[in-house]
Amino acid sequence: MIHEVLLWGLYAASVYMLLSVGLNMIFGVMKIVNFAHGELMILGAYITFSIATSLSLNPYLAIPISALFTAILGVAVERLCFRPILGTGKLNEILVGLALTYVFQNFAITAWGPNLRSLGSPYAALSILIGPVSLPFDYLMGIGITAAALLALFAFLRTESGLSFRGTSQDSEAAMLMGVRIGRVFALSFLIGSALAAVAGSLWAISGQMFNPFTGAHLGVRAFVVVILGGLGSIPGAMIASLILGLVETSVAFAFGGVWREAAAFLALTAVLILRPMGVFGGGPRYA
Amino acid sequence: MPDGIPRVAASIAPLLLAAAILPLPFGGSAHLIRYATLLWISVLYAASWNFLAQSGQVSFGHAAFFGTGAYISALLVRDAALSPFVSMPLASSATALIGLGIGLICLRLTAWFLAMVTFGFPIIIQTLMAYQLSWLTGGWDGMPSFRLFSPAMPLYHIWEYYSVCAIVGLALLTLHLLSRSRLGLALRGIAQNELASRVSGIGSYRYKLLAFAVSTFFGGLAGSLHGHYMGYISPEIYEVGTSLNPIIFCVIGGLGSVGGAALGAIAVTLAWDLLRSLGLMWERFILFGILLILTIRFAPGGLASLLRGWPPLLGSIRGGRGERMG
Repeated sequence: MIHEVLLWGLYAASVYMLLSVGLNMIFGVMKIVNFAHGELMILGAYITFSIATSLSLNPYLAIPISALFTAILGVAVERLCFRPILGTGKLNEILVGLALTYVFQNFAITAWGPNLRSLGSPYAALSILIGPVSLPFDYLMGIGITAAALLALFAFLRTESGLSFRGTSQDSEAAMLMGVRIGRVFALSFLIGSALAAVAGSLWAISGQMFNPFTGAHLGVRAFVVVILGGLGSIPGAMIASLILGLVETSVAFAFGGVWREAAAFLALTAVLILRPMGVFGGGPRYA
Repeated sequence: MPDGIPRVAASIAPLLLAAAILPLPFGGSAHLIRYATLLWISVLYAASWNFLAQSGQVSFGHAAFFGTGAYISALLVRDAALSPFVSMPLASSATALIGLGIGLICLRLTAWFLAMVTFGFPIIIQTLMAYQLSWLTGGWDGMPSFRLFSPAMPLYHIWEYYSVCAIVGLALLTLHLLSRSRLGLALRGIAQNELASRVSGIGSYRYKLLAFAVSTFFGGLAGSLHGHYMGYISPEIYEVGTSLNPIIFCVIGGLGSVGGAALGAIAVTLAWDLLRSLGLMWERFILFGILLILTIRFAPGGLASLLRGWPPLLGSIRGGRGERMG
């Protein structure tokens, strides 16, 4: 039983990780939290679903196309919605994110209907035995693709464009004075963040999870919990918090029943924030 | 904070109240009376949210207080055999106590941290009400909440309508006066710059807690009115939509004032149901999402700031500038 809890925790954590790393990256350079990140994720899942079913393609091959579409959408969101209100107050940024969740969620309902859908994986019957645990192949693929995507991201951050990224997140004004085109960095952060969200959503759907247009909000909210738990802008914090949340949720669901899964996430969040108001790895109290 | 908006509220709110009180019960159908009653309750709910917002604390989980007020009042009437008119203030006070506790947790949190923590409370309380306390609340099946007047009474819905009007009117007036008092001034100062307010001798923790208590008191009152008016409550009252409605009302109507909350709740509810009657169901959310973004970008003071100076006699008594919040 313990093995299954661990496995499910690790697998859920990989989805949270992809979402939260994207969120953190956007926060790092723009200092905004995109509350519609979960919605981008579920749109990514739906696009993968549509491509895979209409072309009867292997869903894993549809992920890159879906990531591309979602990335373009993310850039549009950044330019049209977030850039104009940048610096006018955190409340405005939160509310724009909220408005975007309405737009995307209900766009998904009008386009794909409100019912639960599932996207069959060609490998659904396949599992691999490692020691005492039988690992479904799709979980393994999910964990593997997540690791590959994160490694690619870290490799990117070491390149010259990555340097402008890191510079912008440390001090955007100084970066601008050094000739970094921070507008382009902002757009790029949304591009990468949305692409990662689409990958997360697609992996979630392929591994046999049912989804509907509201799933994005549920998973998105947990990704915020992860990001906030770990401390905004801290990628190691987000990774550790993903693992903590994945494990806390599965063990609480195991001990008290599935109905406490969501409440447990928020209880953990509240408990942590009482002690560390800016998250585990966040800075001290600031008055911004 | 917009200095002009409270004055707009002062001029518009009594007008709206008078307009609502006079013709409806006499000329309107039972359906219209019901519609208007629920509309007044959402005005109060939105105004309670807006009171907290003026302190710069944005609650993403006001359903926690709306629902808890409704449950406590219904339980008091059922199990302690109180009249709803006695149980409602008691339930609101109990909600304010809970709100004070939650406020204490939220004191040091700002922006996203506050948004996520407040977002979680209705979910936690919903799980409690639906499962752990189901012996008391009937779980997901819900429980009856006695109406304000017995349906056997002649013209009871008109009595109900007037009672709701009177309670909501008094509550709105209280909220408005509190906003214009030193308390409101301190809260707006904290919203603009907490550090500067503390330096000027405003104990920001005390004021923020007070804002939480007042806001949750009236949020609980709105919820208990809603529960008694509907005659039934279930844990669905804690759904995310219940928390987000007042945010939409107040952003579109005008953040931080009673007038803005009233304008927003009325305009958005009417537009919402108009779109429904045009056959738009989910598309309404898309339209409102776009409207929200446009409002934040081009009219951050909301409808209240657009209506300043209109109608000429009421709005332009004293001018003020609309400003962005947050």
